[in-house]
Amino acid sequence: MENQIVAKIPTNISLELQQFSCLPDEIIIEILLRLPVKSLLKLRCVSKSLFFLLSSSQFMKSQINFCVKECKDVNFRLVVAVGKMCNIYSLGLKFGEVDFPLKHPFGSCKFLGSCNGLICLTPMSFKLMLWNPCTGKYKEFQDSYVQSVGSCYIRYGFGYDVVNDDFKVVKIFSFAIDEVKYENVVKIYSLRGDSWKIGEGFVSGYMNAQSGVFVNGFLHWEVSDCRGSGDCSEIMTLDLATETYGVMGFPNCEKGNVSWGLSVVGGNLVACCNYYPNRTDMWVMKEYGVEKSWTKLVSLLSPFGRMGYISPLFVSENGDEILVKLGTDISLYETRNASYKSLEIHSAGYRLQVQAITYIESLASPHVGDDW
Amino acid sequence: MVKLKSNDDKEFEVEEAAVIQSEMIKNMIEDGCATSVIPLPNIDSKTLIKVIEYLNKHINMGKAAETGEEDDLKEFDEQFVNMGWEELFDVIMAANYLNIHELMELCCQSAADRLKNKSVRAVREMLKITNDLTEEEEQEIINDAPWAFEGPEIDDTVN
Repeated sequence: MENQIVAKIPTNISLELQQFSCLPDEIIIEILLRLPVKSLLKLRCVSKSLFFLLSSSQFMKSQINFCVKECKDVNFRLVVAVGKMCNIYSLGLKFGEVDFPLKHPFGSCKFLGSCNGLICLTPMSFKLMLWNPCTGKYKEFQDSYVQSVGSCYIRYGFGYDVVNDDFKVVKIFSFAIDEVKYENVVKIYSLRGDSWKIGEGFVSGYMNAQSGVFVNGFLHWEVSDCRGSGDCSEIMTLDLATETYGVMGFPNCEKGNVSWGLSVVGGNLVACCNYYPNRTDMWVMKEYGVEKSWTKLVSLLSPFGRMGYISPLFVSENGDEILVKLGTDISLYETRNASYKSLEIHSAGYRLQVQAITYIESLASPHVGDDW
Repeated sequence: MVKLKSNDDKEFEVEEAAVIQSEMIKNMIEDGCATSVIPLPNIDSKTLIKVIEYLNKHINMGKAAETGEEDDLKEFDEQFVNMGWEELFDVIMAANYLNIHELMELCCQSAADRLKNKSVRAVREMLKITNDLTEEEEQEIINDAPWAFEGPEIDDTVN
C-alpha cells in the first residue's frame, strides 16, 4: 500500500501544498467514511469523480463495515410505526427528536429485523420488503409458504451472510409434534439470488420470539422446552453463511417464573431475563459465543409499576441510557438515577399497535448489483 | 534518539518513545534499519515539524488516562487540527505514509467534520473542485435523494 501511495505522488509535490483532488483514492475514502450518510448523498453532487466513488459498490461495502464497526450513537435511528404513521427519531445527542417523518409508503407494517442499515418488514400480506430508511431505497418481494394440513407458528429472521456477501431472510414454520416439541420447516430467501429455497429443517422446543436476532453472522431465537418457564430455555443459532444450526446457553438466572428475550446492542447479543411481575435483568454477551462472558448490564423495574416484559431497543455507547419498549410504550431508561423518560409517540392519545426497531445509518442497498 | 530527514534535507532528532507511534519507523527500528538517519522522501520539513509536535505530545498516550491529562490532550488535538485544508492534507499524507494510526484518525475526522454540513457549492470552493456534472446530471442526483440537500444545518459559507 505504501508503494502505491509513493508511486502516485509526483516527486515535486512535496514542497507544494496538497490539493484534495490530488489525494489518492484510499485517503479520500478514509475521510468520506467518517461522514454521515446524508452528507455522502449530498457530496455525490459535487463532481463526477466523487459521484462515481461514492456510488461504487466497493465504497458502499467499506461504508457499511465502517459504521457497523464504529457503532456510534449518532449513527443510530429509531423507527416507530403507530398505525399508519411512521416516524424516524434520532438517538444519541438529540434523543427523541423527530429526524424525519415518513409518508408511510407501506400502510400498517410489521418489522421483522434490522441489519447493517436495512430493515426487513412486511408491508402487507404475502409481501416482504427490504428497506433502507436512510437512502429511501426499498425492494419488495413475495413471501414464501409451505403446503400443510395442520396449523403452524411462523418465525422470521433477517441478517447478512458475510461469506457470500448476501442478505438473507429466514422463515421458519413450526409444527407441533407434542406439548413441547416442534418440527421446523425452514425457507431461506437470498437477496443475491432473489429467490427462496428450502433450508435444512430441525426439531426444537417452542420458539418464543417472532423474529430472530442477528449478531456476528448468526441469527438467534430463544427456545423453550417447557412453555412459560425460563428454566429450560436455550438459544438456537443459525449460521447464515453455512446455514447450520447450533445451541447456546443463557446466563444463570434466579429460579422462578421467568421468560427470556433476545436483542442486540452495540454489536453484542443481549439477553433479557423477565421475572414476574415487573423486574428485568439485562445481560450482555461480551465475547460472542463464550457463555462465560455473559455480564449483567442492569436490573430494571418496569415503569409506572406496570406489569409486562421489557425489550431493549438500544443501549448508548457509555451504557448510561437504555431505550426500551414495554407494550405500546417506548421509554428511555437512565441507569444513573433509575428513571424513565417516555417518548411522545401517541399524538392523538390512541394506544394503537406500536412497532419499533433501531437501525444504523448506512448506504446498504436492497438491490443487488445496483450501486446504491 | 532517532534521526529523521525531510525531503528538503533537514534533520530532526526525535525520542524513540515518541517516534515508535509510527508503525513504519517502529518496524524499521525492530529490523535494525534505523541505525543512521531515516530519510523521508515524501515529507517536507514543514509537515514533519507538525508530525513531530504531535508525536511528542502523544508520547506515553496510555498514561494520560492515569494522570488525568486526557483533557489536556483533547485540547491539544483540537488546536492541532486547526490548520488550512492543504496543510491538513499534507499531514494526512504524512500520517498515512508513516502509518501513525491515531494521527490519521484525528485528521481524517477533522476533514469530515468540516465537510459534514457544507453545501455542495461550499464544498467545491473549499476543496477547489471543478464541477464537471451537467445541469441534468446534477438534477438527477438531487432527485434521487432530495432530502439530503435540504435542512437547517446546511451551511453555504466557505472556510
